Amino acid sequence: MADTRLWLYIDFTRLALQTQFGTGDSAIPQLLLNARSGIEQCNDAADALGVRPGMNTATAYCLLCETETVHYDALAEQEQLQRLALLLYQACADIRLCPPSGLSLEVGSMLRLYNGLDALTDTLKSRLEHSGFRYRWACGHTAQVAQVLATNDQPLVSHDRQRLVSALDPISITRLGLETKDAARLESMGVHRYADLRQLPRAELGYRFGPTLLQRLQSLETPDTLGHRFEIPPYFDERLELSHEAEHSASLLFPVKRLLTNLEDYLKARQRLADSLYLRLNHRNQAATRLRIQAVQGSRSAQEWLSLINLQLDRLILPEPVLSLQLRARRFRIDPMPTGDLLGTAYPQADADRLLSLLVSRLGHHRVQTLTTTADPRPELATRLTPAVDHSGRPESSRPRFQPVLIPKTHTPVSPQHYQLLSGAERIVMGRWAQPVPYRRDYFRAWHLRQQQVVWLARHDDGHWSLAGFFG
Amino acid sequence: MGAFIMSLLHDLTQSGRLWSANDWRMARIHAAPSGYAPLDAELPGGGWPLGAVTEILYARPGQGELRLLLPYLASLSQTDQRWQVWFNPPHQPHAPGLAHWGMNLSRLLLCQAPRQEDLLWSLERCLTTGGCQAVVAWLDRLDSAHMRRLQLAAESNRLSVFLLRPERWRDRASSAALRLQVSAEQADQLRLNILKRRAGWPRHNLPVTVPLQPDGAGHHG
Repeated sequence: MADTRLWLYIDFTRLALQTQFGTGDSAIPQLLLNARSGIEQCNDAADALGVRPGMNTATAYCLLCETETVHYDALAEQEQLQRLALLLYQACADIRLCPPSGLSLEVGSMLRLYNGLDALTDTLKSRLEHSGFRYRWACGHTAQVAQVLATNDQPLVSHDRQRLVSALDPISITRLGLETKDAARLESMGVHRYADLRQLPRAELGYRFGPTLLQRLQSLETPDTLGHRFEIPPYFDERLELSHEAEHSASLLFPVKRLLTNLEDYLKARQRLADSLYLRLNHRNQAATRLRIQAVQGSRSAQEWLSLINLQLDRLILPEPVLSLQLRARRFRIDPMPTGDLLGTAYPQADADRLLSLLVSRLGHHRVQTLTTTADPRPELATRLTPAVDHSGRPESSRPRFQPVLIPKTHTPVSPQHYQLLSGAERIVMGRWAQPVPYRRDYFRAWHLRQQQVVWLARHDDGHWSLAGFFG
Repeated sequence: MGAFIMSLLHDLTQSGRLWSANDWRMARIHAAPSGYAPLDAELPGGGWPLGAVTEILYARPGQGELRLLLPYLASLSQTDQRWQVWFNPPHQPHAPGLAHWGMNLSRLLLCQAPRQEDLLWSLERCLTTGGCQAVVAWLDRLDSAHMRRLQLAAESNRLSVFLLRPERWRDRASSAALRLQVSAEQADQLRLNILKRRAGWPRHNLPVTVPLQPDGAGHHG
């Protein structure tokens, strides 16, 4: 199997810059500054005006009349690298993270699945282009070869070992990833390219340069992995700093959509649905605004989540402008096959779930409820209301009783002479174990002579009467 | 042009929106039996209209306004797996009592929408998303434009919508397809005024026997 292994290295050349400014092309020169006040990365607009990475900031400012700058954020860059790995994870099983800006993919084992390298690279390419991040890539018979070729702009996609080696041959000794002092010494000895180095006797090289150089050369020739393997995180938790403070909830929709697109990628990679999301809107001084969004039966579609979030944002009045957003999903469910009729034209259950999600988003959790009967004989405790989204969906045993269909929430004393009793007393008693004050009431169906209503009356132990229900 | 008008007239007559006094029983109106034979005989199509708004006007709870609907709502809840949504009941629905009528409680969704715009929005969603079997809403004021929207939304999905409203709205114009005024003469004797129905004249003082519990339920308690 070792012979069939093949690596693809992808280097995201403007990862940090695009992470911070977004992937759209901007006409304004954008600069990413590093800690040593030099230019780390710049966009096309800046490049066209002569700015180059590595340049001093002062020099760069002399070339530009207007510019946007941002400081290098290693953490944000790492998070973005993870997201890109996630994006490719659906196409390739073995992905390794090579910080700061590279991914190493073992593609040899995927070739049979895709029927060849071209189909696989097409899939990867379409995903990468969709993400909008600038990249360069190359194949290699070892992970290191792929890395050296990619970072030297040799976009060779092939599994022909001979071609790969010959592409490697002309690469300068300083660009092979050797230690700087070793490279300088080799240069001074007249060894300029990989081809020259490859032919030198290894024992002599080891004697002069030590084992590090030999290991490096070895890794260019025999398969070895690079970086640490990417694994999907167990939860989704992403934060987004807004470039401008958002004062109205409507202006949050666009950034929320960005987070939801990432969530959709995450859920696709895990083949799961999320059933509730937590969105946190962070303000400068006030406590964060928290929203809980629920989709009954779960969903992964960014569009669907966006419409549910929109319902909540619509009615939200922000106490203060929002600086950043955080989206979390912790509970997932397995994507079930939709249950519909056999012809597959109607999905009543899915429609019912969607309706419930909409109602809950608009009215709130506690205002959309389902009813169940309880074992408690006291009428006021015989109905249990549960938020419909928390409803288990199991069929519950129902305890029918010949009792009214509506029960007043307040206690209304009545005088029995206004009523004609339609039934004998139905006594409901609860022992002292249930409540400290003994519960003993006699219930009657009754007809209000003047108001012409059918009601349920309760005669209490102390002799007073109250209205206990309406027969509807 | 003449042919167009004739075909329009034909369509309207067929669906019962336009009727002439000599053929009103011919109109094809989609309806579901209410469970009360004397009432069905008077309702166009032989029961509660599907795809239309039914307005029930009553003075006080306990006058048969809900018992009139319960046989139909209960049988629907047993056969349809979508939600039956009740909005803003004036008192807390009592689960054992509803179960006694044969209601499948697991299909019943109880919603509180205190703000009018939330209520109307929710009602429309119920009618248009296809996730709902029937809607019952207690509401007071409703302007005619909103009533018209509800009526159109109901038509698109062939659902029954029941609006339970105070009696004082009886003299206001309404675009509901069926309007009933309910009053009770005795505990199980109702008197109905059909204020408006498709393909028929108004009908006053229709006596209907509406028992306190469903037919066939044992006498106990």
